[in-house]
Amino acid sequence: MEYQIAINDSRVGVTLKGRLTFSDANIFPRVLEGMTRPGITLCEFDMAALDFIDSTGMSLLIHAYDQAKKSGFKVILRNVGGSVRAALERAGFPALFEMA
Amino acid sequence: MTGGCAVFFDDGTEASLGDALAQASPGPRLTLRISTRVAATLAVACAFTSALVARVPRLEARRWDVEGALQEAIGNAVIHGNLGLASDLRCSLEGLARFGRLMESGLADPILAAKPILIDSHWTESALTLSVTDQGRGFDPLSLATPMPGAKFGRGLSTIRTLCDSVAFSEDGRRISMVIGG
Repeated sequence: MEYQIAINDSRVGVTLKGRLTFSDANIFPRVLEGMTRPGITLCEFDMAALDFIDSTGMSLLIHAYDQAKKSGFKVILRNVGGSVRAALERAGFPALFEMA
Repeated sequence: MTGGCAVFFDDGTEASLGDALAQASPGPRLTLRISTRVAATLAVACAFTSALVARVPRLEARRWDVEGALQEAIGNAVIHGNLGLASDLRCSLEGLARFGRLMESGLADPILAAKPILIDSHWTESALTLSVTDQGRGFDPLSLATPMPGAKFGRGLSTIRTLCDSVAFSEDGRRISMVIGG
């Protein structure tokens, strides 16, 4: 999985690309650290280029959700399609996240 | 069960894994033995599913079910089976970081990294049966609870149960067998 983090004032954009699976567990803390900054009000995950996600990959998003609740910012999952959307819906993610 | 092919793949690239599976001889069975390192670093579920769909084109309709179930089973075989890592490590941010470090150190250990994982598949006109076997300590599948939507771990098996028509365990939990119709 490849990722990019872009910060623009109070918004953080996290772009995910490829496959988000247990193989990437060692980079989850870096992603979470990179997106959690003082003054952030919104974090948007762009998942247009994410091809596949497994249950360990989903734990990255759950940790982001917890960080957002703790720090008082909102998380939106954007451009979620195909098998990734099906997997997240199956796991009940629409109850936790806005999925645009 | 007769016919089919076993592929042994302990190291290499995704392209060479795809080639090895594509070149396997035809028949109603395809078996792949991989090292833990390969299982943890290459998109094995994707490659194996592509090989199955090439052999059984009607499986295209359930491609994501096959790949999703296989991915979760391989992940469990690596994480909880051959590397012996606990699920609840991922509960906290600190635990998540520790989990990542333990994965890295386990895969750097030549003995752990070489432990085999066996993926076996066979099919009939009505169903595909997949099994994934690890060399870990095993577990009691009845001990696992259904995860809540906000759970940070424990989704793998419930995902498999959702994607498959039936799921069974043997060898003290070291082997999972999954049936997908179609």
